[in-house]
This record gives sequence, C-alpha cells and structure tokens, in this order.
Amino acid sequence: MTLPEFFGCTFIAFGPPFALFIFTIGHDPVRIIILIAAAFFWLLSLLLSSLLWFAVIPLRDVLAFGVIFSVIFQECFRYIIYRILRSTEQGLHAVAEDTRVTDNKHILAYVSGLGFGIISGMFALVNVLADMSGPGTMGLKGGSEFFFITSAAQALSIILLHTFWSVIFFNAFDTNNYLHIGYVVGSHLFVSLLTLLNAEALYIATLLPNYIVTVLTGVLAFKVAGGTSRSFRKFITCQ
Amino acid sequence: MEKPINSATIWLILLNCALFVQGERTKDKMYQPILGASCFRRLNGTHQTGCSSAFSGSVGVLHLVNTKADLDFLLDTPPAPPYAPMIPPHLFTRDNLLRLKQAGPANISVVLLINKPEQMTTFSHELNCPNQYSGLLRPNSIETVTCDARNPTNSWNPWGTGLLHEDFPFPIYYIADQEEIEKLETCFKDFNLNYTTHAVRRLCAVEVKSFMSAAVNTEVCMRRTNFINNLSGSKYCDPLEGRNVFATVYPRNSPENLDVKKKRNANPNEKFILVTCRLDTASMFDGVGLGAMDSLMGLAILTQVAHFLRQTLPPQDSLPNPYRNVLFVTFNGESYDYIGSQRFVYDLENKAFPTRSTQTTPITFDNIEFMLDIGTIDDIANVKLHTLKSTVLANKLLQQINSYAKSPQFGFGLNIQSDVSHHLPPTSAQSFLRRDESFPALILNGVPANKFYHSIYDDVDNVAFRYANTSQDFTTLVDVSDAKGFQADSLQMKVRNISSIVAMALYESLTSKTYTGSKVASPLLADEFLYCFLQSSDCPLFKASSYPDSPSGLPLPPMRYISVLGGSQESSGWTYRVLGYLLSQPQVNVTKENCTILPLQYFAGFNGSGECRLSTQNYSSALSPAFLIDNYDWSSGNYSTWTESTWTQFSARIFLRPSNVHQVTTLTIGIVVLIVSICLVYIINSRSEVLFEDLPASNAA
Amino acid sequence: MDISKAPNPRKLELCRTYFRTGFAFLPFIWAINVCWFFEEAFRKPAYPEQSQIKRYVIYSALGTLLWLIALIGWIIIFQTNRAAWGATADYISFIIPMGSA
Repeated sequence: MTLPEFFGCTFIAFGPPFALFIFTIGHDPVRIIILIAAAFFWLLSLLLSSLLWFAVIPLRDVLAFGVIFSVIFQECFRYIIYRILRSTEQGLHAVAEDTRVTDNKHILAYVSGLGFGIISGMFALVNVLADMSGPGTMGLKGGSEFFFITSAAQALSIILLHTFWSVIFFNAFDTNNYLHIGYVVGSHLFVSLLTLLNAEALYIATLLPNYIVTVLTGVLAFKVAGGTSRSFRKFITCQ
Repeated sequence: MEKPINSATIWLILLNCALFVQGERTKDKMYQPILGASCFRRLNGTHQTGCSSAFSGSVGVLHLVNTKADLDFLLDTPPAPPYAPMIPPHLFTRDNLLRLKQAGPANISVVLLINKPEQMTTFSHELNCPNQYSGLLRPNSIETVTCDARNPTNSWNPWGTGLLHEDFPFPIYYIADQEEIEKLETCFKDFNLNYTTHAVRRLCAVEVKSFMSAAVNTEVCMRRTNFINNLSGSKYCDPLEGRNVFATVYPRNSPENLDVKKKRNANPNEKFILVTCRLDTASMFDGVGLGAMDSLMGLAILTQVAHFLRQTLPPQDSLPNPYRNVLFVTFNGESYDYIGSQRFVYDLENKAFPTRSTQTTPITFDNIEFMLDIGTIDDIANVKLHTLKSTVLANKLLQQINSYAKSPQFGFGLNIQSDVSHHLPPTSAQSFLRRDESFPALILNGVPANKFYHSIYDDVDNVAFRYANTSQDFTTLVDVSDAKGFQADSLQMKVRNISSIVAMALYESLTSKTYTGSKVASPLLADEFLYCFLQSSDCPLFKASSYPDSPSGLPLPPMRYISVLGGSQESSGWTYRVLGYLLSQPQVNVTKENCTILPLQYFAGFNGSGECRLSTQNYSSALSPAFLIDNYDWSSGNYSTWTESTWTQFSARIFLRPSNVHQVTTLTIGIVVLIVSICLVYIINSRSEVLFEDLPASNAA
Repeated sequence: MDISKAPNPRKLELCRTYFRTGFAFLPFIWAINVCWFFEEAFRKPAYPEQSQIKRYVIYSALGTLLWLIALIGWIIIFQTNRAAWGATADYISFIIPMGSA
C-alpha cells in the first residue's frame, strides 16, 4: 500500500470514530476512562478466545468455530461491563464533574460500546495496514485492488455496530427485553460469519448485507436511546 | 492452506501468524521476491562508479525490451514513468545504458539485465585499456603509456564498453535464473500490455533495494568512516583488500635473527626467478563472474609450471648456483589498478616482504634475477613475450621457450613471438616497471581475443571447458605421448602445452641444462584445477590439498573478486592450499602427530590417506599502500585507491503498483469521510436534545 | 503554575529570571517568556510592575527573533554549501548523509 492509500483507508475506518471521540468523549475524563476500560475488556475477550483456539487443536483450521466462540466471548464481556458499570454508577455520580454520564444511562452504554468498537476495529485493520507497508497494492496473485478500501469500510461498520449493540444491549438488560439481547447476539454472529465469505473475495456480498445490518441496528439503537421519527423530522427540518 | 483475509476475524489470523506462521499473509499475496545479483558502488580517488538504489528502494514499472524500438518507446514517450526496462545482454550496450542514464531516475528508476544471451556477441564492461590510469604512465600524464584508449581496435580489450567505470543513478540487477525471468515476463504480459491505458491502471512493477552508503570518492568516504564525530560508528566504505599467495619451489634457507628491534637485512646471495600471475577477476555484479579466460588461464598455467618444476628439478644444492630459487606469486586485486603487485613492490622497497612472522630474511629487488609474468592467455596459438626493451636475457629466454615450443620431440607446434615496445599488456609487471623501467620483466601474454573480458559471461562456456572427471592420479607428470584421453584441441591439452613450454624453459635457465625428459605437465591436473575453479569447490584437487577429512567446499566455484577485509577470500585460500600441496616435498618419516608446526603441513593427498609435507607457501597482504601512507594524496594516482561502498541489503521483488488515479481516489474518499463525519457528529452532538427528545430534562445540555 | 494567581512582584521576578537565563544561549527560554507573559504585559489592566514586564517581554521577543533569523540564515547557508565545503562541512556535522555528497 502506498502512502495515499494508507491515509485514505485510515481516514475511512477511523475518521467517524475520531469525530465521535473528539466531540462526545474527549472533554470528559470519566468517559475516557470508561472507553479505555471497555477496550481492555474487549482485549480480555480476545485473549480468552485465542486461548480456546490454542487449546482446541483439532478445530484450529475451522475458522467458523473460532468466530462463533469469539462472538460469544465478546458478548459475555459486554455483559460483564454492563454489570460493572451499573454497580459503579453511584461512585461515578460522586466523582463525575459532568453528571450527564450517570443521569443518562445510554451515555455509559454508548461510551463503552465505542471503546469496544474502536479496539476491535483497530485489531481488524492495523494488522492489514502494517502488513501492507511498501509500494505495492493487492493483485499480483489474485485479489482485488479494492481490498484495502473494503477492509477499511468493514472495520468502520464493525466499530459503529459495536457502539449500537452496546446501547441496545445495556438497555435490554435494564428493561429485560430478551428480544433485543437475542438480536444483538444474532446480528453479531451473522456479521462475523458473513466476513468468512471474504475468502472468496465476494466483497459486495459481504459489504452490502453488513451495511444493511449496520443501518438497521443504528435505527434500533436510535429508538432505544429515545429517538422517534417525529424527533428525527424535527432534527432534519431544524426546528 | 489458505486463510481468508477479512477485517472482523483478522485478529484470529494475527494469532495464527504470530504463533504458527501457518496462514498466508497478505504480504505474500502482494509481493514476490526475485533472486538476482546486484551492481554496487565502488569508489576511487576521484570518482564513484557502479549503482545504488534510492534509500528505501527504487520502484519501476516492468517493461520487456526485445528490440531497440522498445527502448526508444520508453525513452521518448513513457506513458506512466518511472519504468524498469528488462534488457537482454545484446542490448546492454554503452549507448543504450548512457541513454537510460540521461533519461534520469524520474523516467528510468531500475534496470534489469536478464540472462537471454542468444543474440549476444560481445559483453565486456571493462575499459578498452584495463587499468588505464595506473601502471606504466606517460610522462606528465595520468594515463598509461602501454595502451591507447583513442584507438580501441589496437587496445588490450577492443570489445570493452567501460560501463564498469560509469556511475549510474539507478540500480542494475542481473537475473540469471530462467525461472525468475519467467516470473518477470509473466507478470509483464499479464498486467502491462496495452500501453495506452498505463496511466490509469495498476501495473506490474519491480522494487530493487541496493542502497549504497558511500559517495563522491574514496577520500570523502574514508574521511567519513574514520571521522571522530561518527557517532553511529557506521562504515561508509572499505578498501578493496585481499591476500597475495606466494610459494617457492625450494624451501628458503635464509633464517632471520628474531630480534624485533633490529633492522631487517636481505640475504644478497639469494637469487629468485619471479613467476607471477593474477589471482582475481572483476565483474559488474556481486558474486557473479568467474573470469575463466581473463585470469584463470594464467593461474592454471602458473600452477602447472610450479608443479612441473617441483617434480623435475634436482635438489637445490646440485644447481649451478645453489642459491637460486623460483618464487611464485599470485597477485590479488590486479583488476583494480594492480593492488596486489603495487603492495608487493612497496613491501620489497621497505624490506617488508615476506613479513617477520615467516622468520626468513626480506627479499629486495637485488634478489630478483628476472620476472616472468603470465598475463591473459586468450588463445595459446597466439602468445607473445612482451618486454619494454630488447635485452640479452629476454632474447635468451625467448629462444629457450621457442626451442621447446617448436621441438618435434614434444610436438607442441607453437611459436611464441617477441614484442619489444611500450605496448605492454595490463599485467602485474607494470607495477615493477613503473618503479624502474630497466627492471627485467618479461610478460607472456596472448593477443586479445576475449569478447567477455571482466564480465559475467566469461565462464565455462567461454573457454569451452568440459570436465573429464577421470578420477586418475593428477599429482604426477605424464608422458608427452599420453594424452589421457583428452582431445588435442581441448582446453586441458592447451594448458598442458603452454605450461610445459614455460616450465621447461625455466628448468633450462635454472639448471643450465636442456630438459631431456619425456614427461610433460599433466592434463589431468589442468582438468581438476579448472573444474575446481569453474564449477565446484567440492572437488578432488581441493580435497587433496586440504587437511584430511576437513569439510568439503561448497558445490559452487570460489569467488574470485578481491572483495574487502572480512570478505570470503575463497580464491586466495584455495590457491594457498593448492600451491602449498603441489610445491611441497613429502616427508615420509614424519608422523601426523609431529606434522603440526609450519612449514610442516599435513595434507589429505590424492587418495585422502594423509601425508606430511614440507611446504613453502604463504600469504602476503594485498591492501593498496595508499591506505598505509599517512596523509596520502588520494588524487595523486600513485597507488590504487579503490574502495567498496557498504550496503545493508540486496533484494528485489515484484508487485502491482496502483495507478495514481486509484491512490488519489482512495485518499479523497478517506478525507471526505473524515470531514463529513466531523460535521455530522458536531451537528448531532450540538442538537442531541432535539434528536433524543424523551430524555430527562437534566440531560439536555 | 497558573501565572494569573501569582502576586505581581512574583510575576516580575519570574519574567526577569527568564529573560536573564535566555542569555545563556537559550533562545527557547525567551520564546517561552514571550508566550507566557504576553497576556500580563499587554492585555491585563495596568499595575506598577507591568511596564517592566512589558520591557522584558519585548526584549525577549527581539532576542528570539534575532536567534530565529540567525539560525535560519545559517541553516540555509550550510545546507546549500555543505557539499561544496567538503571536509570542513563534515567536521562540523554530527549526522553525515548516506549515499550522497
């Protein structure tokens, strides 16, 4: 990958999370801490799934097995963060300068979801980016020249999805909405298994459903967080 | 097994790769390494020569050049520069290379030389006058008097292009292997045909890394290397440095007193006939170039002569003058302005040859009776004895040589002509004549016929060598009537004939008696010697001249480029052993246990059983005196100043280079996404109370 | 430290110390002095020490500027002539370029 390609892909994948970070996270130390803590928990889930992969030797070559278990581990850790954040709400309320964090429970969900998303997006893309140093692009032994841009777009969708999933997931546990929990785990599994198709370079076949799921999940998260079609109309028309 | 590459599961792949390196990495899908040899940079007192890539590698779009028209297309209307032309040897001419150089690195960034020699007729990158700026110089000039560069047809290398002495702003990479050439051509054909759309699509490109640290000239790079502020301790260049190998036919009986403080004194009684040749060769590419015809012939003849004399001469005390001896010296680095012989002359002047550690008296010019220098023998039917002036000595030796060359008893059927003029071949003797024009130097040299002088194609095929692999004893002389199955026109027989003639003439001048035997030099030894130096170091002669059961050499010919300190020094090492073995006398009564202290040396011998021998060979340094003299004036031209730049790696790989359109599009999309998301997030954040309307009142901010 | 919370004599003392330290071939100190006390010298309502602070700030700014001009000038001269100066240029360099004159 050449330097312009590198920056292009980096901006595509991390531009939106960067914007979210500077406008909604960066000004509040508590949110930064929660973001990083969430990222740490995602790393723990990665560690566990890799240990499992390491231990179960016969299934090492079956990528789908690893994918399913890693999704399960990620969701378990999302639940653990949920429990921890809910149990530390009182303490947070006491130390936070900006009490919105604890007043609006969706903010905690959003921040931890973004932390989850950023770190998983980084792991997804940084390895690709690092492996690509040099003057070439994909295609000598097959492969599309859109490989990098597709990877970047996919990383972006994963980052956004994690954010939406956390908002839905936290709220679902607050309100015992098992349908939403099922949706989060299900769509996570669906999206992850979909990426297995990338082996056959079916980029459209993976990217398109991926973004459809992202939009649907985004709408659901929007509703969960208190948005309605009426408020959206108001927002669009600048009232 | 192929691992899918995708973003959501890439961390799994990371683990795969980090822990087991099972998966195919994305990099492997993008790049394919190309094996080859690189041109590198050498410097002398005034210039830099050779090639260097850009610091992080030079990238060019592959373009197969089959005809001159292809080259014109690249130079006149390149659609998507920079390009990397793949040039076959017959188009690798001075004109074409200089045109490529003139086009500049913006248009031509890499040059690949591909091994397709079908249409090649000549290929020599040496100057028309090798060592043009050293040796015997014209009065008040820096050019040699022995060769006229303005008259190439009468020069010592009429086919020379002089490209070895040019500086190129791009790397030149030689690809010898047909499989690698196939890779390049396939990639070119798959991706780079249809030149009209070159500018807007991805193209197969090559990246060559061969960055050279040194620059300008030897003075600058040596100053920087020795620089006190050089905090990193990095070297910029190293002097070309190797070892001369010398040996005497009789062990010297001239011990020196061991008091280090005393001045060294020569032994005036000793008289030597100096028989010399060149040990090294040169080529444009690192590690390629055997110098089969341009210098190995001389070394083969010298070895044969040494062996013949060892076998036939009577004991030293029965000679008419019992202090006479023959000193064989093979000079290293002669291709680079006579490094070895300049140092030898310098050491003789300073009474530093041989070194004190040999515990023998130093040799001076007064000890040397005359010097017979074996130059390049391109065609044995056309060999001349060159001298600067007509002398009694030269006439006598010529007469002796011709008496054997024409003798019906041996049937060599050769005639060596005399050439008395300033038109001397570029050989080691010039270093001696430069010091003193009356030095008795005789040069045996063939009329130039080598169209591949100092090049990668001066190889086995150039000398038409075919290994007979007879497994017969090569350590004894053979009868003149016994050709051992070799054809009369085979290389082995040619070497046998010329060596025998020279050796018999030397025999006569040492003993003052005509050689009356019927034994001549062995074509078997020539066969084994040439096989070792041209095809494989894992060979019977090298095995015989090593310690018993020592690890055998690599199945590759030894490198014969002088290289630098710490370089392989393979050829001097093997020459040392071979001369040591062939010039030593067996000591039947000494056991293996007692055969450890030099000059006693234990050799495996022909049958590998091991034998103790009294050896005479040794090394002397072949580092130019320029690097020994304090405050030497580098541009004075007195001594060789060649250095070799340091480098970190040579590598080449092919891949697809994205078009500029594609790169700009990707970057633009990225920037648009970034700006749009910043605006969008700012608006949503500042109006979140509208969007999420049923929030508690306290959340509105 | 928060300069606005310090008493006025303390500000003057700090500003003077910074100005004097800058003479030890430390132009960055002057530059920092300018940035740090610019507000105090020109934006704040007048107080007795302000005129002196103002003077130190102006002198520091001048010193910084002189240094800047001198350094830029030297860098331009050195970089354009380095290859031509040969050995002299090498002797006054710490980092010698690889692969070029």
